[in-house]
Amino acid sequence: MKYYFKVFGLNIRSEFPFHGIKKPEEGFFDVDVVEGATPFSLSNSNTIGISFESNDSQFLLKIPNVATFLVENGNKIIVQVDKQAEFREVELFFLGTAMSVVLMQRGIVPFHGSAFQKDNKCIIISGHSGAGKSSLLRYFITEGYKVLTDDVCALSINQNKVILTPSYPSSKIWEDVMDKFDLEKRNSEQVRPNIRKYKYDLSDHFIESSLEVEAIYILNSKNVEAFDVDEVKGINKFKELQKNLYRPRFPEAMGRQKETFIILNHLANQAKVFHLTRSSSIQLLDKFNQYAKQNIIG
Amino acid sequence: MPPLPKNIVWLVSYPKSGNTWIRILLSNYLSDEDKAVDINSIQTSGIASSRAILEKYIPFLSSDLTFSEIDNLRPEVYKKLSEESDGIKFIKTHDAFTKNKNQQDIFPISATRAIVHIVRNPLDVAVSFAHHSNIPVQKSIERLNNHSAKLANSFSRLNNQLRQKLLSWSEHYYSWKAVDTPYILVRYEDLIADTEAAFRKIIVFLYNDVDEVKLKQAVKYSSFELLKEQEENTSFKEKPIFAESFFRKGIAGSWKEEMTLEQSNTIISEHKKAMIELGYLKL
Repeated sequence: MKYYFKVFGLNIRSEFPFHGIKKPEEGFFDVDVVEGATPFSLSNSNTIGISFESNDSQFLLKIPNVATFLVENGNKIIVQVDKQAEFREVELFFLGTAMSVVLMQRGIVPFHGSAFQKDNKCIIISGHSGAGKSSLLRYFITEGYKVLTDDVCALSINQNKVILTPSYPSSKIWEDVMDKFDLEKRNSEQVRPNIRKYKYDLSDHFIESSLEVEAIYILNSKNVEAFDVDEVKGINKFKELQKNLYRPRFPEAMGRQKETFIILNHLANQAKVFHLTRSSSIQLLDKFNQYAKQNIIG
Repeated sequence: MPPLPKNIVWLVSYPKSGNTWIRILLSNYLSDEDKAVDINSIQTSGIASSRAILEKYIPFLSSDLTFSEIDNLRPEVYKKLSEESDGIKFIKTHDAFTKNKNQQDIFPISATRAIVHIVRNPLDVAVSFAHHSNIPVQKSIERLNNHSAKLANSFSRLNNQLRQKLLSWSEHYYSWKAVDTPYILVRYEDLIADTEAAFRKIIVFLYNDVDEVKLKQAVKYSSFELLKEQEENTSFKEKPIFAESFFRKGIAGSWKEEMTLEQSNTIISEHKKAMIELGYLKL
């Protein structure tokens, strides 16, 4: 049985019914996902990292207790599922790292962040894991904004503009944020059995069109009872963008430094970049969200 | 394959035992400038439990992994970090020295150049930890006595820090003491009594040599009064939001004013052996 769906703007034919935008069955697809045996090691890897090996056309990704993914030429993924793994766990790493590898192999830059539509452009909320991206994105959803992606931003150049192609209509939300926004956990599933982060459907809040990037807000939290927004300028813009790639070591591991440089450099010229600092105090979250909206939307 | 370079010096301590002070002393000693290092730009290489260090090396998001899966990756991360460093990396940690589920040391010996282990009287630690965490002293005592105490152990939210196994105060002390690698034990109380002498021992241990001018400068610029003044003027990013200040008293023995006899006895009976060994308790 084959399933056809779309993620990150790519048509997928898959032996696994992963979450994506459903589309009618047809002959054409960009990426073929099959279940099969993956090698223990690549015969010609030029990078051996922690839980991965890679060369210019192949990437072997080993997720402990879940699956091994062999991603080739940006158009094929072989998945060897571990015996004890649950489907949702395989899906989690397929949509995250494995698809980011596909993007990188195709010269599309996977950037770490969530994005929502503002007029006919989009805003990226970036920052390290735990900075509060999903929480801020959730606030913009409650304010009526449409989402393009949560966690991975697929960036490419189209008609001389850096655009973001929407990923798939689902987000991952930690239990504390679910509680904070009174989201119903009953209808949501944990991303993995032992992790209290929930898969949350975004179909009603999702936009399928690719949009030009207007600005990037790099979120971080400080142990102070104050907020701050500060524009990044000059060469630091590029450096900050590079630091916030989905996985900063991917371009080198896959021999895609040149494509990455071109896209990030273009983005640094096109978009404004800000550091947005929140307080680590959860009590100040509402005030911070309003502060962020005032600064981002005006 | 050639052996891994051993580039990591672990700055080890139970929380609130003077680790930050050692990092500031080292930063000032290694600084080329004749002025106090900014407390918010301490030139050591962060904390081992930083999620950012892990994220730098792994191909997936650490937030999609369980605590024990992360523990299984940590030795590999520190080996890579050591391998890619062109010199000594001073890395702070509050973790106890434990093994992961794969029976590997979380802090691999093959990447470890040395251990600087800072200890402090647990009676003072309990009081200081209570102020730092904004919790009653009794709760802090329970943590010191808890054999499975952990930091950043929340299941419902993502923490900037990785989950750290602390164990009880004594177990923490003995876990690091038993590691077979170059090791120096530093008592916080000795650092207070004669900072220059205690810090000189650390520098000689690390470098087999000491620059006396830099040493005196480092001690001068790391005085408790100066650190407190810096914190009052600029605030310190490592201070928890609800703690009044990070640099609080900087003295030994303040537990006597902030703890009941019964409370101190609870600590003493649990940690008697280590306290005697460290000179915190006379027989």
